[in-house]
Amino acid sequence: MKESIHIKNLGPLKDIFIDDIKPLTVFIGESGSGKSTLMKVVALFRWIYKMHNIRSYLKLSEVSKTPFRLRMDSYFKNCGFEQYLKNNPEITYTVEFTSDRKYTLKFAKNKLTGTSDKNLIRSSDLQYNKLSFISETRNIIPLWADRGASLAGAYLGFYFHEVYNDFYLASESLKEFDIPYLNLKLSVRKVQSNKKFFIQDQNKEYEIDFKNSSSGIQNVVPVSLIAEHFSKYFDFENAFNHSVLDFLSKTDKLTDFKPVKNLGNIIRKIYIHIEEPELSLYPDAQCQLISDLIAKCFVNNTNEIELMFSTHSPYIINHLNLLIKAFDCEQLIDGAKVRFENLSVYQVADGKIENLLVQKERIVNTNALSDTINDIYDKYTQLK
Amino acid sequence: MENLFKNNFVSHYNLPTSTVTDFIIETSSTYFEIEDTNAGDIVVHMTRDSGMARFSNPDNLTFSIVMYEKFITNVADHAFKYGRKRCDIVMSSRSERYFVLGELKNRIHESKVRKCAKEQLISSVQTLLEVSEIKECIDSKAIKRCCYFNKQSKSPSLINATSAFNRLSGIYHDGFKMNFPDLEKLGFEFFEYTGMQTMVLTI
Repeated sequence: MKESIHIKNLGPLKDIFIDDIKPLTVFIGESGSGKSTLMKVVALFRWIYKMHNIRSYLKLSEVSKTPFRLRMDSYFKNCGFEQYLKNNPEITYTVEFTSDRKYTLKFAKNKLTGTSDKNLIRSSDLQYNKLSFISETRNIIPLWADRGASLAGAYLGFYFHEVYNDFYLASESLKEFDIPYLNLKLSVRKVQSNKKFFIQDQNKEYEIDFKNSSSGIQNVVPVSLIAEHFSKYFDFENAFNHSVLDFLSKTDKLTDFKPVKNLGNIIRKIYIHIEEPELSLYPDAQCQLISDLIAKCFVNNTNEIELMFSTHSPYIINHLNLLIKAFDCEQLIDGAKVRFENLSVYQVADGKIENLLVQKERIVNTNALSDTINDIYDKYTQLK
Repeated sequence: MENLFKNNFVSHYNLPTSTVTDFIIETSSTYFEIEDTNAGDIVVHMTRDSGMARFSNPDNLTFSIVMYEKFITNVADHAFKYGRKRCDIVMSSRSERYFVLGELKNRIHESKVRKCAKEQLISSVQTLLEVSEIKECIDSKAIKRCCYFNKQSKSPSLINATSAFNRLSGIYHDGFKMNFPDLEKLGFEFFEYTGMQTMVLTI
């Protein structure tokens, strides 16, 4: 299966084409270059494609009524893209199995096409996907989790609530969760009627409230916990039932429903998107977090996962080179390795992207992230 | 090469008759480096660690190195130069082997140098390809390459940050061939050289 996206005139993104989105995709670029926008567009279209799959599944299962409407205006608002619409953006997202089994969603002239009944996904190509977008607002999670009850009704933005929901869901399956490279453990306990989160050292010699832990820990815990949950514990069946059967029961369509396929026969995949995994972390810990994430998503996983993240960290990009070599040498670094063919690293700049994989070698060109240190010492040398 | 630039290039773009001299250097040394000096001159050195661009030439191929930026600065009028980006050097082997454009990072305190270098290189290729005689020369070469030579900075002896951040260039000596679709459409490949990375010129 090949997934591609073409984005034109969307905010900072002028003309971006990714012909084959790899299982591990990384974006670097200056602040404001459009990395997050790009990742949000990919996540949005993956979600629309997921909904199109559910709709196709229901239609093929003889549920005639259109289950839901896809409302691009609300989705764009959630993503913070509403002000970009005046430039008439175009987004084309394609999932291709073979040349004649290709599904294209296109947004142009403020209209989404490719999701009508004549574009239904074939039974053989049906997918059930789960998406997670771990935004940089995850550092509010500890406070929100602690004060959640008293903040009922408050709204901190679509992406915060998405990541919070995933964090909360993950903490249902993981009550004790180790973060070995920080020598810490997250403990989840019921206190009165609320769920409370604590950080302990690994020997349990001390314990503090999650909200009082360091900023690095507050950023790492949600990332790591969510990745672990989706990697091993995510209950596809429950999520599928929630998506499909809830609709049927609400609309009294259960009697019409003649499932075209069992969930077990449907392609299942999890997409995780992370904004700046390195937030507030010391360089060593940045690399260890990336190893940990890659181990969770590609080495020790039971569910199939694709991982996409944006970063400013030269350590992370250089660390990827180490993990590529680890794969080539059939070894693991902190439990991780990266298959070069499954990786893309793009620099986002001036509304376009540049592929940073070196041709005919198995490395990522990290020079773009080394220029700053060269410039610092050029200036140092010039001072007399 | 002198004829291609002083006559064909000038004539194609209707530039004033050129009186510029000393804009081409010839070398067939087995090793040479090129420096873009602060005064804007291109100097070829035979000793190591003197320049920004490093070349190993084990087969002693003879190269003409055109100081392209200097040439344009001297021959072109304001209208021609306006908005037209140009690279530092154009190199051609006497044999039908190499046609190389190079941008040497010599300016400091400038952000986005790499992006500017790429723009200078592709713009120079486009300018050169419009001159039919130069295009013919380019077409006759087996290897057509645009190179960005990114100098590695030196830091105080107690600080190892610059060498640490540039270690990758010490592992891969031949430069990095990078994706540059717009340039590839013009028949050129794009390479980046940093620090000790050296372009190896072979028969």
